[in-house]
Amino acid sequence: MIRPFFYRLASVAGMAFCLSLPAMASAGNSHTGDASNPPVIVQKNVVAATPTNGFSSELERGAYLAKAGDCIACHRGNSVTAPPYAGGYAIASPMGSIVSPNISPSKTAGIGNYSEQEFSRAIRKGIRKDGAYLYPAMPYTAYAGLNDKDIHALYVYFMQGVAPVDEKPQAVTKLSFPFNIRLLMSGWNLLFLHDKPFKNNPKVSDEINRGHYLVDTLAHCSTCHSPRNFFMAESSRRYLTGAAVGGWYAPNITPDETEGIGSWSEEEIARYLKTGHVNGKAQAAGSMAEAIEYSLRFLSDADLRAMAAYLKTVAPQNLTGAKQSRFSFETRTPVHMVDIEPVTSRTAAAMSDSGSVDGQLLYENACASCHGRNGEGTADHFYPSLNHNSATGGLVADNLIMTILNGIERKTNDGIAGMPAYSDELNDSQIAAIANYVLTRFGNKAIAPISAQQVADFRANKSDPALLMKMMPWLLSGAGFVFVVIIILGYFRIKGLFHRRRSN
Amino acid sequence: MPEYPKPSEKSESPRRQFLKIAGLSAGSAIAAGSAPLLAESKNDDERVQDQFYQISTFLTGHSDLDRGLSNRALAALTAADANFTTKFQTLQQAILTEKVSDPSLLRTSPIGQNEDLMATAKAVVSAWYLGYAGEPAIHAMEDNAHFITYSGALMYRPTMDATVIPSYARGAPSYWVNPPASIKQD
Repeated sequence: MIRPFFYRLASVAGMAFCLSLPAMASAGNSHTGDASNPPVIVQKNVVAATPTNGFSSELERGAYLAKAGDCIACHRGNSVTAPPYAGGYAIASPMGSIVSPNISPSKTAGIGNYSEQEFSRAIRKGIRKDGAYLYPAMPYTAYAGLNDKDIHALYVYFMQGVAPVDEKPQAVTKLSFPFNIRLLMSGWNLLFLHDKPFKNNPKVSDEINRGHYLVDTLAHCSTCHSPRNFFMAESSRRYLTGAAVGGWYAPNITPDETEGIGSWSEEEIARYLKTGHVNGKAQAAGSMAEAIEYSLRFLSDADLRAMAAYLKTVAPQNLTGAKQSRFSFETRTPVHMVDIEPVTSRTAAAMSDSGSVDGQLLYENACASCHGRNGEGTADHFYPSLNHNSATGGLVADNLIMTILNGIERKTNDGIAGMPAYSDELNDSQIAAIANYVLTRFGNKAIAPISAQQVADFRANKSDPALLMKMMPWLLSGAGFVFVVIIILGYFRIKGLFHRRRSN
Repeated sequence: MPEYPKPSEKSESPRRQFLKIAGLSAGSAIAAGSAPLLAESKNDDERVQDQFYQISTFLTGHSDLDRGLSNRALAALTAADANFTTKFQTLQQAILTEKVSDPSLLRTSPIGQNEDLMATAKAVVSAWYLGYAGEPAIHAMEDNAHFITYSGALMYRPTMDATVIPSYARGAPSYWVNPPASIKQD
């Protein structure tokens, strides 16, 4: 199991290399400085509608905040029976796997020896108790905005509400050079970690402030939904305008009417966050399904409404020039019965041949039993319509292909939503054929036909690597070249010195 | 040849449409030498298809049968029985002669005494209801059964409000624990 959105996210470790030389000096300083001067707890920025309301204790509130922060999604073990927060879950990255550590309060294997200041520094600044830098697979750039009161509640929960697990994960994080040098992250943090606590905007309602706080800190929505710059840091200018993450596409969730979710009501947004499903609009898959399963569905209705209310106030942006909302594509023409039920050969050889690449035939056999022969889904919307569906109407077919390949399993408060994975049932050409049939029939016909090679890349989770990763061999050889030049120059300099001395 | 009603009085018959198209494309037809011959045989096929559609709507009592499936049913029945065209045309003539106005009256009419005619009528009706023609063999690789349609078979229609065509989902898993809403009208 891979948590795919970190695939790309984790490659942020790469950017540090470019920054390392200028930033290294200040890095060491800021790190020791932090260790000797732990942050002072200041009680401010406490939002009026804090979730203290309704919680009987700080511990209970901390447990809720840990849910909202989706800590368990990464800090779980590899097996379903692993105790909570035991760690060991491998987050795949192009440089190697980043293994989540044990964050149970074990004094030997977990964070049991962390003081509240050290705990706060790990969450908000991405620095471990021993001073080592965390990779931004840990969304500390988002958690940096957490207020002190919430950090305190989280600390109380992790120290008192979680059972200690005295066993470290067996796997360890091993990244390729130069990404294995954790200190490199200091340079990146210097540029991209804005570690200022969240500030209320006095011009908007308490509810919107509360939603803003949740969206930007604990729920860390922008981690996936904001595109990243050259150094793999989130672009604040293109906040929540959509980005590719580990094969999936986290779409534009600004309130733009065509490209974003402007056509959604606040109630629909809140319902989506709770269930992962809004009839005739979208269903959560991939990382979003996980976010709902592990985190969002446990949030209070008031908090979900607050998040929805805030999302409606974000600056609407249409960067791709989309002209039709991804929720609005549809085909009303029913298909002809004779076409969808062709007379096929009934010889044994023909019937055992499973190599067809006829998109319609494959759709009828693999998809129509649930999604309907006209893509209408079932009347109760449990099996969603493929018309009016963000997976078929988007500007890219990433989520459609990924869903066919990997299926869906989303635990919600209303039960489990599921679709089988077809990666073992259908080959790349067949999945491409189905995707093309679905797109041309129910979805966005403007999407260029999907090739078998594209499906193969999605299957291998070979998303287009970040520019920085592509450039890494050049940067490394460039650094090597500079190093060799320095050696040669040094050699001649020393030789010259000797020469001069001898001639003297 | 007996007169028989046109499929639809309002729209042009396929035959007329064909003639029009053939007339317009006369140039290419001449170029293609054999085209007049082709047109002749196509007209015959279409006429038989029209006849079969007529007898199908009469015998099943469904006026909304699918034209494409009708042609396919005719092909399947002909494949299962080479004399089928003659047989159903004889039956059609008999229905006209006996002025049978409703399929339920067939059995009590003189046609009901004619085993051959009744067998033909049953072949047509069962093809529409079962979705295949001929006899499927259970334990053999080869048989003379011919596929017409799966989900278009008429047998699914009467309970469509409450049951599914096997293999198609009607709703979320376990949807069936709740009785269908339409049961009150049954």
